[in-house]
Amino acid sequence: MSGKSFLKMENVSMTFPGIKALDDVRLEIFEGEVHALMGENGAGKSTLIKIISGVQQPDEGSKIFLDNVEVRFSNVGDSIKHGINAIQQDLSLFPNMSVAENIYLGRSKNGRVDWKECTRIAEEAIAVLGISMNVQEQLGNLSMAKQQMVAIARAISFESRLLIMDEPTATLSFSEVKMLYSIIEKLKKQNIAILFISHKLNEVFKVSDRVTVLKDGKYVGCRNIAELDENKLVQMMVGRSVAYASLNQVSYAGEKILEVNDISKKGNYKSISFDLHKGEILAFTGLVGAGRSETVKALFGLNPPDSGEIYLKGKKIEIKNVSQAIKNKIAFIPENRHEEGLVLAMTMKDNITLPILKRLMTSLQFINRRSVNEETENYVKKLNIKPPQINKLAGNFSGGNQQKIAVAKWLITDPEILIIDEPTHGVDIASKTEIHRLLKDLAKEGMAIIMVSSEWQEVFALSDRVIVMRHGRIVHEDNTATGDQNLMMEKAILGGK
Amino acid sequence: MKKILERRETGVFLILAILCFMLSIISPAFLSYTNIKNVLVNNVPLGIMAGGMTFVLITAGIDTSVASQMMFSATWISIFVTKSPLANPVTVLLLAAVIGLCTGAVNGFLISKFSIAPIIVTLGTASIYRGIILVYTNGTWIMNLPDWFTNLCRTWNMIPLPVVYTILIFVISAYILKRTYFGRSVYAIGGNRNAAKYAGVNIGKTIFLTYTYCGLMCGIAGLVIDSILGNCQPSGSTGWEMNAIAAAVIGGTNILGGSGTMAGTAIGVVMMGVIENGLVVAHIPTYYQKLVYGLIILVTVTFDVIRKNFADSRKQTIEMD
Repeated sequence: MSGKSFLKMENVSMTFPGIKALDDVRLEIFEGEVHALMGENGAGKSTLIKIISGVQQPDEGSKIFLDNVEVRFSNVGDSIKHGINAIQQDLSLFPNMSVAENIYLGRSKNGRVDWKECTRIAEEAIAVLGISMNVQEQLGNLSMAKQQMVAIARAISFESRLLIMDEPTATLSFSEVKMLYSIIEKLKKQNIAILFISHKLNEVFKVSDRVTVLKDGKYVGCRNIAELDENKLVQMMVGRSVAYASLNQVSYAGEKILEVNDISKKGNYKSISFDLHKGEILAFTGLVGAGRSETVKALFGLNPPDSGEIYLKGKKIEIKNVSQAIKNKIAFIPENRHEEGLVLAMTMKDNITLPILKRLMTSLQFINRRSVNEETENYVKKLNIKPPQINKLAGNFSGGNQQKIAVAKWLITDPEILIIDEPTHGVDIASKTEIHRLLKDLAKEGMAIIMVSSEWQEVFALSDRVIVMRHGRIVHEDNTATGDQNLMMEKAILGGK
Repeated sequence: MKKILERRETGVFLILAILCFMLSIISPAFLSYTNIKNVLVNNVPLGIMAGGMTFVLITAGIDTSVASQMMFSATWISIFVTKSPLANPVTVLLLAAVIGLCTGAVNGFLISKFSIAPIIVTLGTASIYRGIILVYTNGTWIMNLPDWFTNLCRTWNMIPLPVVYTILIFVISAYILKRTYFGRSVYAIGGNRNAAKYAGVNIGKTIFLTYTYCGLMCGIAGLVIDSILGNCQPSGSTGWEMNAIAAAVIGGTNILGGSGTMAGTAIGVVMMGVIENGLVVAHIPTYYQKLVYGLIILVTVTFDVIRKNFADSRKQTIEMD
């Protein structure tokens, strides 16, 4: 880090019809530093990134300087030309093309594509990252981590001076995150600055040199990371400190409700046995791809086992499909709520009442609108969904509130067992805490909850018992409060020995 | 070698080869020079349209107006060559190109400028283009196109010229798809539209050019069909847009965008022609032909989807000890 300014933005504002997404924001990034941009969902991070990468143009009066010279980006090409490259959260790559072409795309001489040049540029860019990869391989065949490497290689191949990484670790496993850190170190040494966006505080403390915080579209402050600790940073982001660990109390675990005995499915999970009690939160954890989601989906009829038995309240049951699961009062909230959980183009009340619509019919088989409204309002209050506009389209709510709507949709079926996959994936800290509190309350009321989570903090803060999986098997099981947390993490990464 | 075996086109090509082999056993006439020539020449207009359609399908679009665009061009050309003293091979080709570029550009403009779904736009323009020529000609055929014009698509020293034109067009199109920035943008948009935008691809312009290029192909197909048939039926070739889509899809073009090649489409077109012709030479009754035709299309495409799903399912399984 040289302390020499590369990008400086001042008085940046951005007005959309009806909302001021950014209000007089500033940001300064030095050459070769890792600069974290923090803020809750809706704080304006995405808008700011879009302005830096030329996707959107700010209001009149906003000033952007590169090397202390004022510039203006009117499209994506402009910012690329100035050495600014963004790696989008979804990577923005082409699964139908080769690695080489993914890296090469966007440059051509007189409209022609030179395939030899393409391979050369790609191989050079991959070599800079210090990794090896067949550049002729089709991108869609690679793991997420490798695809991300390709996205980074693509960015630096444009002689990048500033790399924007939006939630780069969201889809990576532990060891892959480590590899990313080492690549970030290499880039820093080449004097490439990185703007790093993440929800995970520990990452921010690990990789970044300085941090700028936004809140509600306004600039809160810019600090050296050394001056801060987690609490102080959270305070800057939410304007109050959030007690993350206060939920961690052993809750009352009641009678055994579910017993899973030695279930297996080829290529998915093997010899899985565990019990679940009323009023407890059981966490499934492990690395991405350890078979956690596959296992819990078995209980919801989405991924039925080839062998083994499941007992519900001492009675042997079969769960071969979703409707059998629902009949047995089991609910499942998927990780990917946008795709699998909600119909974004339908109103909140239509979404929430969808699973029980048959129950809300009048005698003439019309939908009883009054009971739809009553049922919905009941859960809006319970889950504190804001704003409480039940006729608003689900897609128009923020990420955190969409999560709550998805939760409400399944709670309305009055389940005895709730399975929730990555309950707070991609949710801001305030909503996170609310969802945690809600799960805790539900457990207190006697619901049995199975949670799949990759976030250790979340697992330790929320669960009563932990099951660690690796390669499709259970390698460790312990009480959260009394167990050895380091041992659990070790088992997940290294396997049982 | 391994690479050739892995390619999607190879599979369809093998099916085609087996089909030809079976047909030649059923009827020795199948492999005669005259029969092969007829199969190829009869499918030239469809082939040129399918070439344009391939571009459109790769961008994850669709053009249901190709048959109307072709007949739109064919009608004006037949009128031009029978009535105008200016008509000669150069002016006719120019006219076909200009008409095709215009009809295609209208599609492209509406789709890229107003972001209207391609299927809606092209359903609308298909009806409009067809309507204009039907109103103008009152639906009557234009007969007796001059000899110099039909000679453009004659067979010269055993070489059927329209097939030569088609090969030329396919080679140029393949070059555009593989080697130009425009061509790669076509794949990029179909593979991941957002990513293309972030990579600096001008989406609107590329989409506009794609439909315009498809129109150009249809315009030329109109010239060729007139020249082959020696007359023009403004109400003819209805439903050919479906054949063009089928040919591209059989040849491995993904209907959801992102992949497809000119070589594949060429095989797809020949396959369609061979099936149709084979049913005739095998003396299968006319009414059965449509049935078999549809079955073969579905089987070919289903087979490919199953193959793809199988490959995907293997990719997602978890590593276990």
